[in-house]
Amino acid sequence: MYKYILILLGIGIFFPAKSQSLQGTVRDKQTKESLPGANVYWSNTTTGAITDTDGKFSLEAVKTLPHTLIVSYVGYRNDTLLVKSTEKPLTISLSSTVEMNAVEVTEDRGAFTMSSVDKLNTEHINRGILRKAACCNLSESFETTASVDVVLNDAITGTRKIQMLGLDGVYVQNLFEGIPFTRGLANVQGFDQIPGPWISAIQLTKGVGTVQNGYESMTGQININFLPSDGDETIYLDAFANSQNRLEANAVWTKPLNERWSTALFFGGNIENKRIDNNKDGFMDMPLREGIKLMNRWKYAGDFLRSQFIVRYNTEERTAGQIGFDYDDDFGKGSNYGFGLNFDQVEVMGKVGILSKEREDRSLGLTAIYSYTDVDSYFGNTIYKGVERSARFNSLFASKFSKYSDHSYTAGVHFLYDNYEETYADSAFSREEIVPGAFVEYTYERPRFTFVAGLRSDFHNLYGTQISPRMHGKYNLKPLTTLRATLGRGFRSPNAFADQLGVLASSRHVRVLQTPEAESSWNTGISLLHKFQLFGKDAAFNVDYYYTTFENQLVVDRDTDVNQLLFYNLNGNSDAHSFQADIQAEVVRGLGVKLSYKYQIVEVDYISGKLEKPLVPNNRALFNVGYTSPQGKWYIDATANYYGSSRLPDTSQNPEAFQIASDSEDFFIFNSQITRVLGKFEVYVGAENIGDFIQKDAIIDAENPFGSNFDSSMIYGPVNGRTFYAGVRLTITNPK
Amino acid sequence: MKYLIASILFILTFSMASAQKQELVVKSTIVCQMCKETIEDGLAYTDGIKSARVDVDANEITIKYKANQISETEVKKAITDLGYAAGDMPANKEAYDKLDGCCKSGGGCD
Repeated sequence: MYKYILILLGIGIFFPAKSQSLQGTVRDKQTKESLPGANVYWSNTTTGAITDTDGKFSLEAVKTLPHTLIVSYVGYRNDTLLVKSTEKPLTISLSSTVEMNAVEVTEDRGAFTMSSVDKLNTEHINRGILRKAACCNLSESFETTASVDVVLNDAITGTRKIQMLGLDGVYVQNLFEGIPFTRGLANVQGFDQIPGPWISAIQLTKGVGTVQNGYESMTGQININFLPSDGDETIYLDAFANSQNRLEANAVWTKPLNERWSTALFFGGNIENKRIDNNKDGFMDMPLREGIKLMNRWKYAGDFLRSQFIVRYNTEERTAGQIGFDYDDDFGKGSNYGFGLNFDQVEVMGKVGILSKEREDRSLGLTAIYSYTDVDSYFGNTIYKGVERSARFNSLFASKFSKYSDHSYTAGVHFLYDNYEETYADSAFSREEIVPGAFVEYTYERPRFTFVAGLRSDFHNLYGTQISPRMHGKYNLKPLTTLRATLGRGFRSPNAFADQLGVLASSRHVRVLQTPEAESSWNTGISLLHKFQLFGKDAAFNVDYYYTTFENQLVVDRDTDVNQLLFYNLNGNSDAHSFQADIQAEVVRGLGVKLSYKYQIVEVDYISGKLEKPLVPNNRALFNVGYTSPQGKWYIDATANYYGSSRLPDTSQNPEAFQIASDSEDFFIFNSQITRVLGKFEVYVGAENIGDFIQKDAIIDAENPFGSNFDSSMIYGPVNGRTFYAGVRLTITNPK
Repeated sequence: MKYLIASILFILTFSMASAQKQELVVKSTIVCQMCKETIEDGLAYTDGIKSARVDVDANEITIKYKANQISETEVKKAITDLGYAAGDMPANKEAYDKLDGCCKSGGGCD
């Protein structure tokens, strides 16, 4: 939110009065290149002009000065100037939105995703990069980065979860343009409900986040920018199908209504209705799915007041289990094993930014979100249901210490209300959280050096007062060599069932041994980014190390007893170390290469002793090659993912026939895609898991799902083999 | 406790920087925040210059530099090459022309 306000802070200009028309030039702030075709207009009038090939414009003056002039250009932040006179020509510099990602920029599908500008270690995934991956929703949008791993929860439900710094995605805070969303019961399932084509950019930040957005960012932040409503009127349509009968379609319409108001409508639908069992274990490889997603956003952009309003709704029905499963015939009868999930979510968000008229460094931001999440599921004969109602309010006041100071601060108050009602089998759980809080953050910013120190205090009705200090530092050794460091504390409220939904697809007896307490952790990390020229082309090298240690964690124990799934509060240590190195380079014109390697160790003290967290590979690597033809007509992409061996939960207590190895095998996954641009159309074909690697015996005792050895949660690899897909995208833009 | 120590170390690491320096204060033609950024960013990586601070209200630039690496005249030239006057040394005309309208004398950002 604060970013938005800062982006939109206009620069006023003053000249003594006289002539009848206003002359000027519009150019790029950084490169100083002139910008032809930029819009220049007086606010609240129909008087406007477009810059010529040299970026120059001449505009009829309004009768009364001072008057606000608005300058806009696709891919750049709008500039708002208060013009007091037309005597002298203006030079207006617009900042590119590449770093902030507020507007879609020309599609860079190159390999460069790291920036020297961000205060935190942030990887940018823009729309061009998103289109390299096949499809379809947010949980599938990380195929070309090694920072985030997307893994299946189990072999049946088809739900995926993300992992970052070796830890579950529940410790990562998800943001809708700065507002925390898809949290609580929606934390794991919610990612499947966000269509990739709705997204304009993703920023992945490693390590504890700033204090401004709440306390839940323990290991990182994933900020998602959706297609903006302002800019040119655009209609976007796409359709996708794969060889497993998965069909998806999306439509987005963005419509500026006038100079101040704009709106955008989003639609997404998916259907998967074929029962496929390629690995011959008697279970569907992927669930049958049917879903609809809708969103509407509104934006008002005034001179000193900006506001947005967003409504989001999604519903999905999912059925999986044994190939012949039918709910009416089989549920509760012990004949065929089935899994079903109805997931419904409503979110209403609003934000307001008020800019100071006197001090351009001052702004006030207010955000509010209400969300309703309903999970209704069954695993065999066991029913899990959960409903969450949540409301959050946040305020941010930002100011410099004095008008031209290098010191600035942001302060605000925050309030969260969260109500959970859950039932699992015969047990009911309910919880009401009321969390008022306040924060203050200090920033010292110099050309080569930035230091941010934040402190927040949250008064949790269940977990007491929680103090979260956080610090971030950045030092530029050279203009393009950046050293960053971070340290901070975060906490969250765990949801045993929703966070671990897939693990329930087993015959394990679920036992919550203690009332779960807040999960809290300290995270620290250091990173070095070096950009350089390799054979006259841009290249970048990044290396980072992060360490997370838990004060408390809701431990998920599958090792102590093979017939039980135990949840209990951490007694001892739980630590995660993650080291990653990436190199990105343009080898020859149009050919980009990215190579990443990650090493991680995660260890937890279980009841039965210290063990490596199961199903987290120590070694992980990614190699991506992308080629763009000189005219941008063809995009060809290939990715190889390597997953090293990981420890599997202990099965030595099982009868010999149902014991599995102590460690998983290592494997490669290859994906490739070719895109052809044909005017407004884009057509693409691709293949996933080209090597056709399938995890063997992904389900233990699949013949006997109601017996005591059945377990589908020992999953480390894919359960469906090679798939082919094809899709088409259409973008129609109607310039103002 | 170990986090407190880590925190202090963290701050220390990022606030270290001092050697024998010369200080130079020059009057200039600074108008606004953008001018401040142009000058401070423009001198951030100049060899020998340890720090450059612009006081917009006082229209002054304070430079800390290592005299054995860069002379006072060279410091001033570095400023004028950015389009700003450095005391009695006038701004480089070419650089000045490229400045934003509001950063030229007579302009103003309010």
